Amino acid sequence: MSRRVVFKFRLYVAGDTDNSTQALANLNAICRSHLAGRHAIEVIDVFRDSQRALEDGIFLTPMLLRLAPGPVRKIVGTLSDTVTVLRSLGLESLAV
Amino acid sequence: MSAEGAWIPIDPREEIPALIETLLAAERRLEELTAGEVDTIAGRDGRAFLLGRGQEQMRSRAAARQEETAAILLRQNAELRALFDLMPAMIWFKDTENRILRVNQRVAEAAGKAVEEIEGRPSLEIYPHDAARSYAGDLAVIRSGIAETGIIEKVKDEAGRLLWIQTDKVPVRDASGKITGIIVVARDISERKLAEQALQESEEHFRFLNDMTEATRSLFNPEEVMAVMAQMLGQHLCASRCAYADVEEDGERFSILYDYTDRCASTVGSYRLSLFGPKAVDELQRGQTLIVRDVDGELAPGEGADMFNAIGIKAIITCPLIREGGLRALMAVHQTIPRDWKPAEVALVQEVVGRCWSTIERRAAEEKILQNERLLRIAGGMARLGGWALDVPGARVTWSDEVCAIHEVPPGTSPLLVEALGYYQPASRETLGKAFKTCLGDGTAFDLELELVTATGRPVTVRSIGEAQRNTSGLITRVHGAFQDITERKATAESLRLLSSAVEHSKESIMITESALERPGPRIIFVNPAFTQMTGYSADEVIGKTPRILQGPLTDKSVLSRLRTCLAGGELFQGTTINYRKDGTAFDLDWQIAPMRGAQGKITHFVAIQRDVTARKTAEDALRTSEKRFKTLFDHAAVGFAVTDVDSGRFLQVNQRFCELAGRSSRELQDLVAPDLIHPDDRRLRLEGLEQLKVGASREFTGERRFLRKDGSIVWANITVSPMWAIGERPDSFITVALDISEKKRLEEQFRQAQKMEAIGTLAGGIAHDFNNVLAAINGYTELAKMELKGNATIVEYLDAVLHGTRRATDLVRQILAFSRQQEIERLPIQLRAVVEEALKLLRATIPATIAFETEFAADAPMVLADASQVHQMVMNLCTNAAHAMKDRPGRLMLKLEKFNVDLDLAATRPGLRCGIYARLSVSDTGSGMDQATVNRIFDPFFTTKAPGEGTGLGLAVVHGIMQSHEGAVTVYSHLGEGTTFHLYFPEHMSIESAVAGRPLTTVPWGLGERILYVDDEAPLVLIGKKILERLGYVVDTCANAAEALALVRAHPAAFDLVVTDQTMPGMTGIALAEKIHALRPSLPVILTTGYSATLTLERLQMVGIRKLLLKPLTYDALGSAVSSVLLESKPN
Repeated sequence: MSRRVVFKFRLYVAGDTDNSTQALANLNAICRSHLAGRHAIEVIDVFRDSQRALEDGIFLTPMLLRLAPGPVRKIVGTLSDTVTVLRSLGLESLAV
Repeated sequence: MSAEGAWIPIDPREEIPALIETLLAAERRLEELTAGEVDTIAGRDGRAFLLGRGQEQMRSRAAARQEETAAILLRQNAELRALFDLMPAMIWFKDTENRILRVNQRVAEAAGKAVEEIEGRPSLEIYPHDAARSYAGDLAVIRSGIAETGIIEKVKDEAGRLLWIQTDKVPVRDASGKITGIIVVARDISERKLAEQALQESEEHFRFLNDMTEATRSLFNPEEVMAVMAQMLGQHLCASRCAYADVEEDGERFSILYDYTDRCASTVGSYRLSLFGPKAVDELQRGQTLIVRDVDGELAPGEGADMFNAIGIKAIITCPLIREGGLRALMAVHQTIPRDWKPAEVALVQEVVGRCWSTIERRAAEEKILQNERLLRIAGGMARLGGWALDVPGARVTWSDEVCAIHEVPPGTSPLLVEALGYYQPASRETLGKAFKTCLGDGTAFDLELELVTATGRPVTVRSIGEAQRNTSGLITRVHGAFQDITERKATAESLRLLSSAVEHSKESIMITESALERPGPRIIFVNPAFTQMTGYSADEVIGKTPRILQGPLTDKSVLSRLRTCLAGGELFQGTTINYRKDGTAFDLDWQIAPMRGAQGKITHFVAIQRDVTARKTAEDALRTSEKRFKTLFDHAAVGFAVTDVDSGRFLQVNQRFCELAGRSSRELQDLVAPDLIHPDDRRLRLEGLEQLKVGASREFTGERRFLRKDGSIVWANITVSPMWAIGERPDSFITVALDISEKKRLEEQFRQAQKMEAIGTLAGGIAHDFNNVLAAINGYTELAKMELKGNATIVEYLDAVLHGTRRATDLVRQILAFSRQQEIERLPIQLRAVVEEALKLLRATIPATIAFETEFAADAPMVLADASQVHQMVMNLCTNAAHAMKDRPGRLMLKLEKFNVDLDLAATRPGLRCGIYARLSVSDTGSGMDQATVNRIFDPFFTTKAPGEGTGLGLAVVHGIMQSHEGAVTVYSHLGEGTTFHLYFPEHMSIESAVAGRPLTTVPWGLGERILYVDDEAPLVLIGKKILERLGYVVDTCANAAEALALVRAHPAAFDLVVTDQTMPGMTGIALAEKIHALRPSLPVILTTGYSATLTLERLQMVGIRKLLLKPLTYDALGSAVSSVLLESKPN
């Protein structure tokens, strides 16, 4: 994998509920540590923009979508388990 | 929705709990599945449902947020309120009904109410006076909905100050745009307004100054400049008067040449600065502007108010101009009514006076330059002198008009160097060419006389001077110089050379002058060496001047006028006048003056040949010098000279010193004859002497005579008279030499007095011993009598009176002895107060009742070491003098005793005083006082202001002597008519002993049966001594002479404990006796008694075992104390 690949994420949250807030904080921390300078995060609140959630088939929050690099992957939860998250995102090598 | 749809087919009470149970189960399962990490679930329609926990969180968050928002709002509100209150402007919110909704703190402050008292009230209630007017404006804004800003009003505050207020009115709308009220903001913009005003004024002033500069630019005459400036400034300031004044060199006078006036009189003229008062003079000379806003309120009549009122002025700005440390000019602005000058106005006057000065100075300088240029041009024309310049690049020469004229080419001709050189004769051309080359090469300047031929072919001789000019880099870029046609001068010089060599060697003095006879007269253009020899003036000193310098006061004016007539008529003049040499000496000069005519026959010069004829007067001159010398000697001699007529005795001549001696002016002496000056008692002596001289029996006579002066005083003079012979054999006048010998006479008198006093002293000392013994007997027996008569009070009282008298007599004898220095003074620690009071008791009886005594004794006056009888004597002397000074008049005599700290200043000016504590006794009177001359001599012995027989002139001398011997000092302060004060300074005595009135405060100790041998040749005194000592508990043996006493001691050396012996005894003195006893038994103490102790020294007494010296007459106290203390000292332990 080229080091210059840009990771695009979309995080679905529900207002500022605990799990959603936690998920956003964890995602930010992971990106800062492992993907500095090569990531973009879009946050969507399902209470405000329920249409987008419907379109993306979101049935739970918080849910993270890895839009790029493809294929799209979905992760539900607070993203607290960094190793699992990294693996799910295809960043196993960084998890060690 | 259909009707069926509205119907609920199931029983909610059964199904709803089941559904809820399902929901809860689903939720729990979801929690399990997602490990609690999920907040929402979304349905197919995209709606998200919060799970139970999320719902709780959202609820509590929302509540928290609400609280937070409320807190923020409160805080913001408080902040805004504070800001609102802090706004420097006053702010009102009002509704459309003119009700005040909100105001800030400023408004409350201005209204003197609390904010709460204002808010919610109708404006009319708070501002009853002006709300209506202001509301009209508010209403307009409310109606139109258009804000009105920048309304500026002038109002007066409560203190009466003028304020500028700017008001803004803005309508307030609600969300729907409807006008619900108005905001009014009012600000105090007075400061800004004032600043604007000041700016405007300063702009005006600058514009004014600019206008003034323009107006005076074209003026050259300083007076016009002054006039224009004064007028412009006066008009600009709307002043009543404005004047520029020049101050003269001395800084004391000033002149006003022009002044601007508006409905008041002009002050053009010259004035003395001091007229305007010391304040004005002082401020102006220090360069300070004098500002008076109201003359009557600020200046006193003597401070210039009178002067200003006289010229109708109430307000002034006078601005001085100081240049080179001195007051040079003034600019004065006057107003006939009081005026509050503004700082900007004062500054403007200061600016104008500076400009006025510099403009005038500049004009003067420019005028001078112009003048110089004009003169230079004229001079150039006259001297045929011009200038030229050669610019190195181009080699073209620029000629001045005069140079062109000399070349006889049109003005403005500017030839090339080669062309210019073409005008010269070949030799000159070569010289000049070389000179140019050198000059261009190394900058050497040249000065050449050259021959050239003008454009018209005329040969001329010229002088050409040139020098190189360099640019900043040192390169020669230009040669320029002067050019002069010297053809004529050359010719003249040549002919003059011939002539002058002829006259140069002439023995006759020759002078050539111009021909102008009108004032100042013809100028000298030539003199020969013989003239210099004769007059002392060198040629340089007289050329250009007129022969007038040879004339002087004795020159005969009629001869001079004849001379002028002759010369004006073109005739030869011959005559003799007195002339003066350079050194001022006069000499007779024979003149021969001939007019010289020019080519047209006009007289151009005069030639004078002069011959000195003074030789014959040399002898007379010498005589005059000698006379002058003698006259000087005569006039300024330190001795008096008088020449008198032999027969009449009239004064023919007297000198200054003689006049002083005679106490008359020389004019007064003219009316007197010589005998008038001599004291009547001495006249006969003088006449006898003169007769001897007249008949030729003696050549001169000398004698001491008294001169009786005009004021009645007498001067002793030593006079020597000798005759003078003029013509014939009989003397025609006497010359008297008089020498003032008053001082010598005074010293002689003083010496005689001193001798007299010494004789008195010797005499007094001689009788003192005997007299003392007499007193001792009286004293002793009286005391004994008192002892026996204890019961009879009356007799005891009488005896006390006798004792008192005796004590006084004793003191008197001691004073006589003290004055003749035959008695040692007895200084004891005393309090002066007691002595002074005792003296005053005596004085009161002798001093007239018209004189009041005042005494002031400070409790802390220190104890002093002094002789009580001497202090007593001084007080008597000073008080007697004081009483004498107030003779026949009521007065006060004040005595003051105090502790006085002599500081360094006083100690430095009073010999005998040192820094420290003194007891100061002051004796003051309200009498006639003394002049300085008297004060200076007051302590001299034998100096007295009293009539002969009234005073000895010794009183204050004695005081002075006594104070010296007390290590103190006496000072005197006196002025005529203001009384006199004497201060006696006694140094503080640092002793712990206490004493009163000079007598130690001790009780006499009793003896313990000690055996005493009492020796005196006078039986009564022996008896007294024995009685006293026995009373005190001693065993007493007596002897009437020394030999007997010595035998007794020799026989029983150990029998006696003490010997008391008199000093003056026949056969053997007390000291000799003591010496012998000392040899026999050194441990036996001896007390010596004596009437006076002039020859006794303590060392000598101690050597022979004498332990104490007692002065007679002996008293119970003195003898008892002495015996007791000596015995105590001699005891083994």
